Amino acid sequence: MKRRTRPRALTALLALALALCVCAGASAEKVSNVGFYFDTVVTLTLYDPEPGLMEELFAACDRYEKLLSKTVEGSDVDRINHGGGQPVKVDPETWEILRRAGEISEASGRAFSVTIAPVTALWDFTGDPPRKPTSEEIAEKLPLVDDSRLVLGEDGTVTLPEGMEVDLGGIAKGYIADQVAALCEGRVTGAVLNFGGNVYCVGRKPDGSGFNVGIRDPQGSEFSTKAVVTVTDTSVVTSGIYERYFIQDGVWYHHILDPETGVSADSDLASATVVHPSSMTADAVATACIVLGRDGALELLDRLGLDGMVITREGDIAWTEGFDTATQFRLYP
Amino acid sequence: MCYNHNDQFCTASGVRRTHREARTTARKLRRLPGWVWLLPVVIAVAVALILFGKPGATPVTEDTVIIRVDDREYLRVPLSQPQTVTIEQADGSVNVVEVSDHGAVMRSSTCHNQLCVHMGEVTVDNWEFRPNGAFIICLPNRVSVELAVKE
Repeated sequence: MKRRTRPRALTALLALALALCVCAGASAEKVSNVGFYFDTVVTLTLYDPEPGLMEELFAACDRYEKLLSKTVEGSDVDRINHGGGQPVKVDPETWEILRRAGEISEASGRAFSVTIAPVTALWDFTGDPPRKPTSEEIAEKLPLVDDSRLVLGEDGTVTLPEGMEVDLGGIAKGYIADQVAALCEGRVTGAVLNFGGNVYCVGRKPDGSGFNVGIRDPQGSEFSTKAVVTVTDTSVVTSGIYERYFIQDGVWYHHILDPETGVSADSDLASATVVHPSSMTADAVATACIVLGRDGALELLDRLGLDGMVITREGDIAWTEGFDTATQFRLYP
Repeated sequence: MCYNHNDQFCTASGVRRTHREARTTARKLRRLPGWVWLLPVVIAVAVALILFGKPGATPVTEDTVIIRVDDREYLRVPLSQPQTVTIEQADGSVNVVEVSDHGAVMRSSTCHNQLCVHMGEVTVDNWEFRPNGAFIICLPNRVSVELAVKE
């Protein structure tokens, strides 16, 4: 009898251990955390994350800020800007971002530019009081805005003519979202990664459905929602003229500058949303769309094979073919 | 030698065994397969996972408003305990968060742009559809309010 009892007891113990493990791992646990990087807020929500993942993701944000921020001394961008016209060896990731930025700049007819930094520096959209530069100041700096003069060497160097500066503000958040999303792969059941409006959705919600992302109504008050998309494993990036702006003498000055004029893009668009698995691409293209206006934006999205939608300053909505079905797009509420 | 401190060496009635019986039991235990000794470790790890959750942030067990200053948690307020929370920081900035039984709103802030005050209310019904999701953010004061909904 004793010989029979012992295996039973062991089996029971093993079953208990397995049951405990299943209980510990099966419940869909959602954890969130917040970090301040790139002059904005990063909110990460993870479903059933692997232990230590949240810390790893924020450590990645920290590393990228030190690598890509224009205002961090010693960053790749800082070194490029102070290179004095000499080649500067940069991290391969910085080089790749600049390469992709160049492609989008060219594809958009220079509606997107990373060398707009000298002009951007003249403006202060969030200061108290804000600052609008004079026409003379802008005219003086505009010749320095020219992405074609940025030279990417095959040896991993970047050369920028003296006086010119790069700012990756229009593309870096997207790149970082991509990298953070990649770190989540296979280590969560789902995740919503929000980099100040660049949202990357990884996997699915605990009930198996996609994640909902609200798109702001540019005309609405209190950050109301104009539309909702439902997505999995892709990014939703919206650029809007309401993000950083000030009104002076009845004129709305927003942070998306037209590289050709050096002033806030004067197109008919209030916001542009691009949905794509490459948040870096979506980020830069959404910015370019605002500069191009409704028709130019839709043409660019079509040409690049991207899904997107735009909202005009009058509140009209237009989207690319297939966008509505791909994202289950619907108006809200 | 007393074996009363260990159940393995005691009968149900707690009667002390002899040294000989104990040695016999020890011999039997030595004959058990090696993997059996992993069981206590597996159980301990599983219990630890259940009790302490996964690292990074603590998940909620009920719908809760989590207020953070910088990246540090300041206060958790379950919706079952509505209240007004005032966050005063050393630099003089003040944010007032109102937690109701269905959500939270930034009632006031000393920040210069007042964007957080205009972000409206985050509720159990709208958190998935708001442009800012479950969050209200005051970037100048580095205060964030999250409605953590149990899914």
